[in-house]
Amino acid sequence: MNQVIQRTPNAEPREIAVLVPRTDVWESANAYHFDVELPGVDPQAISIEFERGVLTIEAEVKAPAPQSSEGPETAGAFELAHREFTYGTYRRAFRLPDGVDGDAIEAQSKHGVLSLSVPKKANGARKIAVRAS
Amino acid sequence: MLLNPWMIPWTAPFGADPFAEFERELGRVFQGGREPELDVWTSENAVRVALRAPGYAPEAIDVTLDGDVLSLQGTRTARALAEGERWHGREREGERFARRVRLPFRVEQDRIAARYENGVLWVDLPRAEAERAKKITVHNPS
Repeated sequence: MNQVIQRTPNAEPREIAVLVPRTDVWESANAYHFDVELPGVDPQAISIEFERGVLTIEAEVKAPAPQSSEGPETAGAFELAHREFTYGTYRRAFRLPDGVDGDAIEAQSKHGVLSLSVPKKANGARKIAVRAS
Repeated sequence: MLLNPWMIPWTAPFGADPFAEFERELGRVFQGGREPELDVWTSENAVRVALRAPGYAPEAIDVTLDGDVLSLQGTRTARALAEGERWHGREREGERFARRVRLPFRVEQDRIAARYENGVLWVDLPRAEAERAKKITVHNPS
């Protein structure tokens, strides 16, 4: 298994697999950066939250229903012959150091990889832009 | 590894179990990385394969058919850090993947369709016309 799979701690009758997405994290002079693998997730369905220094990423990956999207070429009901995918909810949280600007997080998704940048505040102080009049 | 040959009734008349071979051929090639997960669906006249391989450019993915073996391969360049940057965690692996699937029947090579959507590679392979079941009309000569 490539993902660490946990069951939800509260004993719900339905099975929800929590998938921990593989993530690269690195730091540059101005920001912390994350590349989060979320294959099979519609970018619109990704939830990103930042609260009290914790960045949380969550996204549900649903089992596809191949019989619903077929043309004349592939007429006939599909049956699953081999399965390795696990379906459920990708969830991951990262605690960030002080001095980051949670209001200026940038997110971009491409080919199933979510890229996030969390900028650092300059000297921990709020930077105020002066507009030219 | 789970296969359900009983779900594919059309394999039965041919005697041998094509899925034993099929399973062996779900070969995994480790080349400096993990192998991506693969799902396979079959219908009477098609095979559909889905492979989870996030972060590849579509043009860097190769889908090839050699006889009845479908090969899926891809390469990507791992992120390299610039001067002054440093890693805090590195979990994404692999700069290439290669997986092979032996198909349970011959397919129409010219009508194989592949798409890469949100990091999942989907390949649809229609069964060869010559191998599809034909309905024979029964004539009454009287």
